[in-house]
Amino acid sequence: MVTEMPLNVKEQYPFQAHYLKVNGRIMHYLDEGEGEPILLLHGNPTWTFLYRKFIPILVEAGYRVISPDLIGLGMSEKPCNDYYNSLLHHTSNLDQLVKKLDLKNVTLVMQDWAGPIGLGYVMRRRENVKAMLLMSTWAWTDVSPFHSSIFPWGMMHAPVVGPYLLQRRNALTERGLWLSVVNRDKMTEEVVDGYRFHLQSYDERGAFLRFPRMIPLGEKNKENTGYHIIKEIEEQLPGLDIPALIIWGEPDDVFPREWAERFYEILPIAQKPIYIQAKHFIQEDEPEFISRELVRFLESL
Amino acid sequence: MQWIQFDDKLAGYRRELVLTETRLDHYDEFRQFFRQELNLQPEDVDGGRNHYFQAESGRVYELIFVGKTGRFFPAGLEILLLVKDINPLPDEDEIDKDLWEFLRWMISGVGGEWTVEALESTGYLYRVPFAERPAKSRK
Repeated sequence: MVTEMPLNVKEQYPFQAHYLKVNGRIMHYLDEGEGEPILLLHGNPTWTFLYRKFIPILVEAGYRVISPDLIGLGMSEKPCNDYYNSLLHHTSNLDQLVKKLDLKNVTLVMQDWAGPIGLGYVMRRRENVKAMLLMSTWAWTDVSPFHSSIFPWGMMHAPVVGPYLLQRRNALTERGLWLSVVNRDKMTEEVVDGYRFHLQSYDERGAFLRFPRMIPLGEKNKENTGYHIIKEIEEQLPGLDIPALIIWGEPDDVFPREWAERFYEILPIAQKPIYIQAKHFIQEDEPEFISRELVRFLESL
Repeated sequence: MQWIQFDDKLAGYRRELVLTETRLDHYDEFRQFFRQELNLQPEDVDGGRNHYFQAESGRVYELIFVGKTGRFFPAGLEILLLVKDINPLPDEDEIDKDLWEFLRWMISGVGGEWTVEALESTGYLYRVPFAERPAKSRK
């Protein structure tokens, strides 16, 4: 369903829309500023709106900022089937975007699903990667306590319950975002409007369900998830000799602080993690701080 | 909710798809539950009968179980609301209330680590208006 962006969303997101085709699907992306390219990558259930406060700071600092909406989310095409949404699809889509825009020496900013998707790209195209920023994400087949519990996460994407909560009730947008930030006063109706306006119907919200179901949950769901792909990334992490900045929310209850330490210990060229008062949607909690730390980090390389 | 025979009364109704589940085997115990509870057989995809339940509201829903090569049956489930003639669809919340009833029935049947309490708590946390407040948070 095509809907015009409401005025209150436009005011928060005053960027020019761009579109291109990747693997036969229409991808929406932002392309702002000039300079070395920084790719701002989102996960589920967000879109490039998540980075609206990063973009002006990074552009002002002299970078070209490219931020794509994953196929199935944001203003990109939202297919109504299960077959477009695998890690390999999304990593291939990212690779296509980089190739079509002829981006060289890219810096990847990754949070949530953008971690496995972006690291899958880094693994295959490391010669084209300058640096990376990792926030509230993962790259191993271990299950976090949050993801392994029945209440609330397991129940959230269980058969039949999943389509009910995530598609009919739009639970992640209407409540999940709010639950996963520290500064809840900042999650005003205007901000939530930014996350909900492009997902008004049941069919448009299919990705909300498909992403949780890709999370490896041990042996039980091995064949139905991204297990094998994430395992491959996990095995290659120690060899990813790319400068890495790690910024993590101290009270993050989706991906615990220990996982930031784990990235730091595994990655060969990682800076000691920076911990801030933020939860999973760290970009909503501390956009200015993270953007400035990223600029400082890139200038130090 | 109660199961009813409805096949011979379908004339004059239209089907409105209200929920699609493409991966009943996401947790296989759910697929097995439906298979056993409703005595589903793989050959049902070849002309077998559909199932109908009536919610407390009186509305009737049809369950269509989907088979796919390469997967165990039933691979998926479609839930359709039967709406008389050209009557409008009820409000989404009314349908959601009926479906919540169905979810409660399903979870209590799947059992094991899948408890109705966990369903209600999840629903309550995510502001499903029909979900019961968990006992621990009641004052």
